[in-house]
Amino acid sequence: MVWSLIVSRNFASVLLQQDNRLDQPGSGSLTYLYFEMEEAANASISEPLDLVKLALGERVFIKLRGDRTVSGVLHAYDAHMNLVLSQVEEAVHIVDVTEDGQAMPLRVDRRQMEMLFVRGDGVILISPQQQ
Amino acid sequence: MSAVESYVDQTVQVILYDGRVIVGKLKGFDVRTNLILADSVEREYSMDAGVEMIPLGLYMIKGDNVALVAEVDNEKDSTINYEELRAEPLPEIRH
Amino acid sequence: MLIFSFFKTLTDQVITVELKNDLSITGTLKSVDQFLNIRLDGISVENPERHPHMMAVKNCFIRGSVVRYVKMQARSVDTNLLEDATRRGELGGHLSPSDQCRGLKM
Repeated sequence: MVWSLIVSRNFASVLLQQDNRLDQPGSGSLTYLYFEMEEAANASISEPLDLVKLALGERVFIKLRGDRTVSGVLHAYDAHMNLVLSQVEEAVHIVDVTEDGQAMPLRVDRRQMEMLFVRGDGVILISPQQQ
Repeated sequence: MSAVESYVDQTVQVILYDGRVIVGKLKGFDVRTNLILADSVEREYSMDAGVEMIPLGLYMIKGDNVALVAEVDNEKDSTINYEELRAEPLPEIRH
Repeated sequence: MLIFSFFKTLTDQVITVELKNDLSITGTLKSVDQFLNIRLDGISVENPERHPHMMAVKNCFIRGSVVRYVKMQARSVDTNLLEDATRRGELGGHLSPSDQCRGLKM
């Protein structure tokens, strides 16, 4: 099985290919990834969080538990997916229910924050955002 | 966790994961935020009546349930008329 | 470790901690530990009419696991330093020196 994923970045395009036949003992990973990168020929891409590493300094889109989404410039992360973001916009997606149980149209509450730490246990996904 | 050390023998207000509020004298703690509270009282907030004070006595609270521990300013606390205070109970901690 | 160190650099700064029960508490960061438990002094609650539960307290200890967000001023954060430290893999992880991706720096 071979799949590819193009990571859009201003100066780098990455081609990831997975080949399960190359699974190596002791590699600790079922996937084995190749890549090509114009400016970072030595960078290792071997695990999902390496995609997040490529997004450092870039705007990312994050989905959180509790019907929340956050967009912001990524400055730090760790293995728990704790994040530090700046120029953040948070959106909370709310469906109000009337007294007789009818769902109202979707309402979105938005907030801006200049610098924000997001605790990793709420993170569902992180995506490099195309602007 | 040593941040809780200074609360020992002080009156503390503990907020639990389920939103309950318990006030008592902190007698001990450990790294898992397990707490020992003496002379503890649950403060039950509601919109229909003042704050109900429910005596609980000596409690050991398992750390997993603890959301927040706050030091109570006894002087300020004594100036608050809890019998007249109405407030929604705190929501539980979600996700 | 990286995020723990990051919070230590914010000591004595005013931050706002938003809890997973929607309580927002602003105060001076006095200490943080490896669990990202937070000790705040001189606290105030965002909506004291709705949340009078914290009226009689001045300082508190917040369990790391109940934190949703921590809001802070942008000028109290060195973003370049943070990005470099993250790229260098100071994640308590398993990256070897050759994997440290210095080449990625713009």
